[in-house]
Formats: sequence, structure tokens, C-alpha cells
Amino acid sequence: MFPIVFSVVIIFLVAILSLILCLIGFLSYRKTKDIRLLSVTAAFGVFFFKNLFTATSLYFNIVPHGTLELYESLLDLVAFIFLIFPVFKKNNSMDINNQIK
Amino acid sequence: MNFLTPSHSYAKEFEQDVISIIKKYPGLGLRELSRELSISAQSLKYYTDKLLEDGQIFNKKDGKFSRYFTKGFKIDEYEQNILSCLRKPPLLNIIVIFLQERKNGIEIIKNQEILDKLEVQSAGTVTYYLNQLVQNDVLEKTKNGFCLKNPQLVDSLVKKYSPTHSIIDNFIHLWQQYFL
Repeated sequence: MFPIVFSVVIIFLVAILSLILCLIGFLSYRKTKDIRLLSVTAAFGVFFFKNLFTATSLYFNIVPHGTLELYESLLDLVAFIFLIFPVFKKNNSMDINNQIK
Repeated sequence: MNFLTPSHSYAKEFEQDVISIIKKYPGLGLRELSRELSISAQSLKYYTDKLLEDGQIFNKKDGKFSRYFTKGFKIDEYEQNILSCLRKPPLLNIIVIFLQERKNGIEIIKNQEILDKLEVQSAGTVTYYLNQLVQNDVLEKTKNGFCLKNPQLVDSLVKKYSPTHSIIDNFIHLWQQYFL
């Protein structure tokens, strides 16, 4: 069995990667004003928060494992809703094809 | 009294940004320019129309679309044809395939080989694009397939005038493909 610190480090790295994608997503939204990209950004933001919370909780033993699993599942659900939403949302505001004559 | 409102001076500054981008990437259409400048195409059209009126830029029709060039930009019709092909992503992708294969010593490529290298295209669509490139004198048809008519010129135009895509552009392109 590996010490818990290995898990914490990997989960923390996942949090950092999620933060990077969240930042890229935000810059993409600023460039395009496409609300769907903002939703994807929010999903990566939730992943960042979830992994940071999990890493911290495991390291400092803040939350019991069973409860931690519940929080993780809820945050996964929220993140996936943010990812699914833009699939079905039409982009009316910045549809360049409709704007170019 | 200063008649220059912040919005007026901003507009002048932005016009200079538009001219810089057109100078850097001649032959871009409105949509590509709007992406480079992070502004909606509708808003950008206001500036391009104004610059056209002032004579600081000129445009050339490419089918339904206009391609923009700065005043004094000299390019012969042949280079212009190549440039207009470089501004169309599917045609640019095919040209890049030819340039890459040329580095490996392969000058002539068949339809099927291009179809295999492109991500999502039907054989009919590839043929259509190849015919467009032949019509614009970028490619020529040979017995065994297609080859670049003037590879050095095409290579230099690609290197000189093709916008490079940032991580942000790649992210946008990736996720917008995912949306319905």
C-alpha cells in the first residue's frame, strides 16, 4: 500500500491542471463571448475546487472518507452539468456566421 | 476644448490595430479578422467599412466574402489566388499536407492519401477541394495524382502570412466542435 501522500500529490496535480484549463477556458470566453465556453470554464473550475478540497481533506483528515466520497460525487455531478449544458445550448449572441453577410 | 472623446480616441486606436493585423496577415476575411482581434464580426465591419472609405485598406472579392489588404499592398493575381486558398482552412490543411510530404521527398500525392491524412472528409469533398486548388493554380493534376505547382512560392506565403494559433484558439476550436 502506498502512503496517502502519493494520492494527495497526484490529486493536487490534477487540481493544478484543472486550474490551468479553467484559466484557458476563461480567456477563450473573453475572446469569443461564447457563453458555452464559460460553462466549460466553470466545469474545470469545479474540478479544480473538488480536487483541491479532496487533497486537503485527505492530507489533514478533515472530512470522514464516506462523507468525502459524497462531496466528490456531488461536485462531479455539478461539473458534468456544466459540461452537458453547452452541448444543447444554442449560441445566439456571437454567431459570426449569422453576422457576416 | 478637447473634442476627442475617449470613445473617439479608442476608435482611432482600434483602427490602427485593424490595419496592423491586415498588414500582418493580408487576405484575411472578416470572420478571421474578428477572431484575431477578439471582436464580433458585426462590430468589426463598422471599422473595416470606415477604413475602406478612407482608402487605408482595400478588399478583393473571393466568392461571397471579401478579403482585406492594406493600401499599397502589392501582390500579383497568382499570389492572390494562393493567399485566398490559404485563408480557407480545408484548403490550407491540404496545402500543408503537400508541404509536409515534400519535406519527406514526396511531390505527388493521390486523392486517397489525402483523404487518409485529413481528419473528417468524404472522398467527394476532398475531390472538390483539390479541384478548387487546381483551378487556383496551387496544384496541378498529374497521371499519378496531384502536386504543388510552385512549391517554393506556396511555402513562403504560408510561412509569411499564416496566422499561428494560440493555445486559446486551439481550446476554442476543440470545444466548439463538441457543441451541437
